[in-house]
Amino acid sequence: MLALIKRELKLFFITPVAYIFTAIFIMTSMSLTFYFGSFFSAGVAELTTFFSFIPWVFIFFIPAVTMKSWSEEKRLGTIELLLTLPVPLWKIVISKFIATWLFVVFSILLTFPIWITVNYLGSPDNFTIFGQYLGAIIMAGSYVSLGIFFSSLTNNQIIAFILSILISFLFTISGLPLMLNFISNIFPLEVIELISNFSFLTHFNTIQTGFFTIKGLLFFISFMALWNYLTIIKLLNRS
Amino acid sequence: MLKVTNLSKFFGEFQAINNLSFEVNIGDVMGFLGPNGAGKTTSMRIITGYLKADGGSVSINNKDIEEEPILAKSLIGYLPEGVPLYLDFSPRMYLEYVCQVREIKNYQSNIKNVIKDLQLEEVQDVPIETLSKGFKRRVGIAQALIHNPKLLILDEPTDGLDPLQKFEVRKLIKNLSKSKAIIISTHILDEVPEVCNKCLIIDAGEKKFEGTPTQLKRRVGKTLDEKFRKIVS
Repeated sequence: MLALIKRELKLFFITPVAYIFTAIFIMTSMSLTFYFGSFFSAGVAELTTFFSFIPWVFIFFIPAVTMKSWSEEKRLGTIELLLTLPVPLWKIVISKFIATWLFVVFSILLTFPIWITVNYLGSPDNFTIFGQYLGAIIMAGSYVSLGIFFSSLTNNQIIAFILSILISFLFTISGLPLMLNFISNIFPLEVIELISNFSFLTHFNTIQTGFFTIKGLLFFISFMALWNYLTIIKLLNRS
Repeated sequence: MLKVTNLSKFFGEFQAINNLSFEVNIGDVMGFLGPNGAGKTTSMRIITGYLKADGGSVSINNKDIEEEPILAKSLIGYLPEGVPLYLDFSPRMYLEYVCQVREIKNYQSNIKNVIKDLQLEEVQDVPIETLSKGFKRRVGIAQALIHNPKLLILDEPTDGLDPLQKFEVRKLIKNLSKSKAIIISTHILDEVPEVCNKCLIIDAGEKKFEGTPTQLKRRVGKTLDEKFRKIVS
């Protein structure tokens, strides 16, 4: 399994694409924070504005990373070599997931200069910031698992990319008034409650305050488990 | 070694394989022949465990590919159709990865041997993407041989090679056949009497002929091509 994870990571870093992705991710998240989040003029030493933009950057960044995960293997035919190795399918799927997640975590960690900046300018609550980073990393895993599933559906990377953005977007906003008002005319209250419970933002916001709720953590972990499971089912039923 | 029993496979309504049975033992090189779309690649994909059969069974050394897939797969070396490879890797990197996944201990000597056998020395550290078709195919054969499998399945191993490389690959297959069971699919009929001691012709998923190349030669007409046309038409 370690060998599979290593290979996936090598495939990321062997080409310049990974570095370009990481650079774009850092630039986008930083510029959103500095220009639209008025990081300096707010005059508060905290990273809450930075982390409030993070899910929106993830919606585009993570599908771009995951889109080739399985579709490239299908297009090249290397999936045939991969799945005829004497390794159980679930190990192959989980390895791909872990490697992709690690790559995203690497990008997230490279935003550390902003952490240094707030510490230089003021005295933020570093414990909260640590929690926020951890929350972002766990949430990123959910987007990765979803993106990889859509990549397993098609050998066309663009289709995988667009589908993942769309579904990630729906899961992100499902707790916002915009979405809830829209569906409140159609569904009964219980269904609306259920849908809002599936919102990434709702769970991420509670984690963001620095308090790790078991509910939020369980939500993201079961979300990852579900999409990885669906990917395994999809690949078991290949033809 | 390899026992295929009453294999059948459907893609929707279309029957790709119909009640196919055969056996290959150590020392055998079986030429797997048939026109395009006859079901050669599908059969190979089922034998290697990539596709599931709708009926029948495949067992390798008495290990059923569906019941004990990990054990059965560890006995197979497989070169899929079209030689899929990770293009950004170099041959050496790729072979190292295959060894690590297959959990081969002290694999450097395995790598050294296949690189020597397939004459990949000069390109071992170059990205696979930049290699010629012939080199790519040799890398594909190398990854199938690296763990010294008992059953070797090669889908068109000499396709795209120049005459000299073809000769080398055939020689290699002959040498390997002493200790392995080998299946090669090909549409180059002249190759059959040269390397194979068994041949199987299928058409529309059904077995049309099974025997030795000499039997095939004796059965009808003069050239192998004629026989092939006669059997499948």
